Amino acid sequence: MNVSSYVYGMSFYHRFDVRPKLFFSLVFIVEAFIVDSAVGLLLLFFLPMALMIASVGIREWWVSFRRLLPLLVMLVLFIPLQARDGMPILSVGGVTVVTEEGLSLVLRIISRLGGISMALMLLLLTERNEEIISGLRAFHLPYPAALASSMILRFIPYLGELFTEIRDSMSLRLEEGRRGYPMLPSITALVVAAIRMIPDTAASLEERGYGSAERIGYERRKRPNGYFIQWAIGAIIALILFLVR
Amino acid sequence: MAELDISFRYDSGEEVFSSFSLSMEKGEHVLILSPPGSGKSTLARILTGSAPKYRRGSLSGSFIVDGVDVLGLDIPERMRLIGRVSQDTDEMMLFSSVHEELSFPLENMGLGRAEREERIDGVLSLFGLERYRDVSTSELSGGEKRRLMLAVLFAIDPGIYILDESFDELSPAWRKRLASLVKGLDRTVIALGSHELAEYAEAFGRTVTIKEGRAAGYVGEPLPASSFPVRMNDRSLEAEALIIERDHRSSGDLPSFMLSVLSFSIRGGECVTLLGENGTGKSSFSRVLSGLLKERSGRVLFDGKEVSWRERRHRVAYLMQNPYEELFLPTVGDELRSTKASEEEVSEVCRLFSFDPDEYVQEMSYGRAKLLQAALFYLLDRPFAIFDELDSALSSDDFVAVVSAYLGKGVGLLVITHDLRVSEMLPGRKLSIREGVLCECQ
Repeated sequence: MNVSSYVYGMSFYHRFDVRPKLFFSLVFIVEAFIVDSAVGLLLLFFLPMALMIASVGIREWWVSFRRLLPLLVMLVLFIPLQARDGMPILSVGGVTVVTEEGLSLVLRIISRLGGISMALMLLLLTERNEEIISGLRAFHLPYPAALASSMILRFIPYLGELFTEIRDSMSLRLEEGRRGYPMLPSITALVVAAIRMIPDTAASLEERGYGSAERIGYERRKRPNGYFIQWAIGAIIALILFLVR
Repeated sequence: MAELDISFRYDSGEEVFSSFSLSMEKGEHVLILSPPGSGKSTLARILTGSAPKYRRGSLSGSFIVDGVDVLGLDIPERMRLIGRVSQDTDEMMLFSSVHEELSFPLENMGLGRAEREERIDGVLSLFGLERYRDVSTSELSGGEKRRLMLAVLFAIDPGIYILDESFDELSPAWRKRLASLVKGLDRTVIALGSHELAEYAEAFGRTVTIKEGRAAGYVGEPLPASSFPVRMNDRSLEAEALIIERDHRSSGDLPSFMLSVLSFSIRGGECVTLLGENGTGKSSFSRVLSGLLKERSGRVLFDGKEVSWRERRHRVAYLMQNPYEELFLPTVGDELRSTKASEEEVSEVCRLFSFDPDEYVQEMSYGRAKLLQAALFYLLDRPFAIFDELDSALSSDDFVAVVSAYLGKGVGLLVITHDLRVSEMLPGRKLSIREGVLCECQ
């Protein structure tokens, strides 16, 4: 699973210590379920987006964000059709297609899903895997749980990468004149490849000594300059989100 | 002294070893040369413990090292005794940076930070990877990944090293370097290979083979007679003023990788060989020709007409370095039928490449997977094909048979190899990449 989302940089957010980053990412995710006001929902979506763009640039933001797009498009297409009680906005032949309530519901979901996803992407784009493990260990998470968490966080980008690989490979098999790639075989192939990866990863971990009684304990992290200011900035953002909820 | 005597059968019923016996002196360097699918990687997995734990099967026998039966130990307990470099490097990569990949086993050995860093610096320098210390492993080339996996093994420094086709995918200079490192190593080394390499002679004192699941004496394998069919035709693939660029997004110190191709051309039925150091852009060039990567500038022409990068996918078959990047379906039949070939054609190709359509791809050896990759693109009937180190992990006979089959169909072949013997054996022009420029070999 040798995929890294990390993008080298010296941005303001890159320089944040991993501990406040992890803590406030978690707080942000919890707040995403509390916030319900229009201002709060806008902040929820655009704050991590702005931070991503400021940290890694528009291109890298777009590369990460476009993986979410199919899901967001499906939400836009289907949720309004499912929630048609309320004030009609769009009717076709006397049948209500979109209501104010349906539209509001889909915007809420997109804001929460997009905001949470981008907050996690921001973490992975600006922190190396070993730093994330070390940060989780600083919160007294046992090593196996910290390792598993970091692998889970990387698993979705990994599947995204793997799917691109499969799609490319499938596109090399297409007949003349055909474009794109066969969707169903590609998804089947993705599932097969992901399942095949499990024993290989487990074997590789053990062969490198995972589970050994000799493993080193937690090595304390140093506090960087501005460490408490970083916590304060995170706390202010969390407080603002809470106040405008 | 190490005494190995094992029998092993996969749960699928396939018997791989039947009383396979091998004795090794402490510090002896043994080479096991046998064709793909004969059980070399299975042997490596058995010795390190991942088979039968993660590749199910029934194992009996023992592997006694200094009076201890290694097979009775749990996998992590074996780490200091025995370690391997897998043939499929991606299979063993766990982490996202070179440093983390190296540090993980050392942390599990209980080494303090200072000793870990000392060992990491030592092996990075030994394998020429110093500048990649903080780079993402996914940004390394195939040969660089191989060197990283070797660096991991040398950092752990177990009593027995298993090198599963580890010389393959390395450039000639790195093969020589590895041979000299192995020669100077006072550890027991078991190297596994599918075909002879000139570098083996320096590093290994004894060669054995696997015959019907048993160890047997090895009889030298001369390169097959090389009279390749010639069916030149009017098709052409050309590249003009290509600039290929790739960023190292995970590191701020490394400049972008850049390759310049002023002019390249190949005709239908022609064979062109491409040589070059690891990480010089051979695979990136192949990806551009086959439409999997966009060039920064320049153009690619097919039959004299410029073709978009998507259209190239229908013209050029690209057999990637790692076959598992192109094989995803459950069985050989599923893979071959995905090309929309008729049942007759599928049967014919199965016969030609010695495959059973019901064979499971997941259970195949790496070498057999490469052969399946070749069979798959053979069916697709593209006018041009790129073999990205197809010769590694294949026996010389298999490789010659594949090249002959493609050339016999009039396919224009670009063969990327690190093996100078293979390069000399192949007909046609030789190209190389030097200092970021693709040029004709003098």
